[in-house]
Amino acid sequence: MPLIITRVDPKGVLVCGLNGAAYQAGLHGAMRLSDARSILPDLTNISEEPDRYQSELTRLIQFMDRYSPWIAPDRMLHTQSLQGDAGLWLDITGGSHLFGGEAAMLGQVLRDVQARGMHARAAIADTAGAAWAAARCHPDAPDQRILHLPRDHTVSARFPVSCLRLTDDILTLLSRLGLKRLGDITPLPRANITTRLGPDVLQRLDQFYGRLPEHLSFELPEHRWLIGRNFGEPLGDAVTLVQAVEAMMAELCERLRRENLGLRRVVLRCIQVDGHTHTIAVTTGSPCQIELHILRLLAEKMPGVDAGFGIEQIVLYAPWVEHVTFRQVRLDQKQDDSGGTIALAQLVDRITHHLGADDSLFYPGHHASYLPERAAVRQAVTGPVKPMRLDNVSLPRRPVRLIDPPEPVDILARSDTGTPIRLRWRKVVVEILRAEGPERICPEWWEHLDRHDFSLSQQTRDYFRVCDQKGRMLWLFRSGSFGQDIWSVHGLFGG
Amino acid sequence: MLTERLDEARAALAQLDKQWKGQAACPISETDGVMSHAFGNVSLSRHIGPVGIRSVGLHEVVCGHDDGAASVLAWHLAQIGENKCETGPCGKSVFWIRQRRAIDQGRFYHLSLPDLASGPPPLMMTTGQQVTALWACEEVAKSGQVASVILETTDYGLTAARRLQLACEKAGTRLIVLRRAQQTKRLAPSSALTRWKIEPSDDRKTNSTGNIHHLSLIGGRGVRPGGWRVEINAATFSISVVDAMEDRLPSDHVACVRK
Repeated sequence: MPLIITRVDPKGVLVCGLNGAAYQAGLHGAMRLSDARSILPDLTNISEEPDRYQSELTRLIQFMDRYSPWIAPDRMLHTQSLQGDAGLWLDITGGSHLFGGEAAMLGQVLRDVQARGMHARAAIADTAGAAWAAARCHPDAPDQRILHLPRDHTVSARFPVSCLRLTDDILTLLSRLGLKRLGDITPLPRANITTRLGPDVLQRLDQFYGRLPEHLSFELPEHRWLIGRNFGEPLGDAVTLVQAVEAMMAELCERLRRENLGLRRVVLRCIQVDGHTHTIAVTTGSPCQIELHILRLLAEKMPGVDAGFGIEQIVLYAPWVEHVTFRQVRLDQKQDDSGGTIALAQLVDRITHHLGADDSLFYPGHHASYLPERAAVRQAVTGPVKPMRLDNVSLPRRPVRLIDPPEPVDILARSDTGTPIRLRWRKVVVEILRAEGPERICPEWWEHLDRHDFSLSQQTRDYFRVCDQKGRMLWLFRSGSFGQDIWSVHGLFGG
Repeated sequence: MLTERLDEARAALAQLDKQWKGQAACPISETDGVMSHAFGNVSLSRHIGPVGIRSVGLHEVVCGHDDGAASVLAWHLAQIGENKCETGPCGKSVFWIRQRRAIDQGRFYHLSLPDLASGPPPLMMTTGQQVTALWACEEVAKSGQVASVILETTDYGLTAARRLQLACEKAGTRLIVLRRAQQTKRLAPSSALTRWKIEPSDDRKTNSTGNIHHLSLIGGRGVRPGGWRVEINAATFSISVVDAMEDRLPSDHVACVRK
């Protein structure tokens, strides 16, 4: 049954929404109701209800919160467009891996929206303008519209100029000049574009390619652990910014304390008046409701926030909160004894946030393997910690220091049994006085089932504890086939 | 009713605990942050002082030919008094900070440690920058949340050493620094309370098992340099003095200290 929604406009009663049957019959948005009735006389017409539309939009934004808390509706199209092409921007920076990658996330979004009874087009791109254009003009399948610039420059060059969100007058002018696609505009001199077409074309083009920021007005969801502040007078220096963040953090932690919750992750977003956005994310190892600790972690990254022309909005959001479990750990104490645990967790947080990409903080762990380099594993400092050694695995004596990877040595002389009595290690001749062994360690063949050229004997190691002329105890092993054996130093014993 | 009974039970437990503490024979006495017996031999006392090794502060282990033995010594110094004395920092772990390439003979292999299932596992950190290692060391020492800190690093200045010493004193933490000896054999100045060096014994007769080493006390504040022949017990990761080496240092160490 064809159904349309109409809006009363100075131009008349116009169609602003229609269902599939009406669309199949040839109706479209922005046409007059009288024209539509001439095509379909038995058309059902209902008037637009802006309040209901807004509530549905709010509900949709809350639904999309599962993908990202940063959702910005295309406000101009939502209020003015009659074509039904309004949309939402989702800032999914750093979150797509939670859904299995960008393509999987895109497919998931489309499926979820379809399950709610809506048809949608979606795309992922590096900038808001590019995402807007790709969702409408990308030639690929609906769940594969991912545009990476400048890699996909040839794809974007074929987009029509209407994807730049320009006014009808400018689009008409561009059409008269024969500039129909982005690829027609980009080679033109920038000064000529501004002179002949006005500043909007260049601005939208730069926003499309990420040369200019685009200020999106995010719809902050009604979230319990989100605090937003708008400043009539933009914050221009770091001191006032820190004061504002401190006040917001104190409020957030107070809310969490009332619910006996602690935050595990907090996101601070500072939005400048020119649209630049600084986002700082801090993760804690355990639920935390102490604002001083969180502020100290934030302070490490706050110097990177540039106030620029001023910060007009600050959003503090805790997307991950957990219950704080206080428990009595000793019978003779009424109060919980978790102060030391909390202090240690805070210390770990401070160090973890300070470390670089190549640095690591970990608890040592034990993997059930006889290969020395595989047996020692690292456990995360957050979460449950397993014992440092497995109870059911007995290891022979192991070196205090492990040289990983093992360092091959040159054998200068051998004994009758084949063990070295003189070798060169790190350009120094080492005399072997005594050797104990071997301890044979076979490779884990089940790890190499997919390799056809795997040879068990080639990778079997015979370990020896040898004492050199200086009294050091080295851990040597022999690998390779008979006659072509390779000797390597794998560690040092303390005694 | 239940609360009152629980209070009574707590009081009884506290009283029993107090009595047990009074009767317990503590093998290692610790008063005012000082441990008297470190290596099971009283001859050390004449060099370190009548009260023994201070448990709070900076101690240095200079690595020589055998980084394995130096690591054992560092672990032994970090563990002195741990889980044996009620007044000690029981229940806290060791924080091992490794600066990559500071010590070139491999990395510390924790599976060589004896079974420490009763104690908390050590926290380990690896970094490539000395600045980060020193910062983390100072931060951990100031926090007082670990019993001991072991730091593997290259040479560092007197100012850094003093900062670490103050951080240790602030929270009562013990810090053991593993540092490599310079090629010139001249040690950089430091504010460490004690400075040790351990080398494997090259005497083929006495060191038939490979676990006899020469332990040298080469400097420190208020200490008299000396040398001992020690035995490393791999099963317990501990060091015990076999005999005193005539209470003097090897000749090269004496020359080094005089410089």
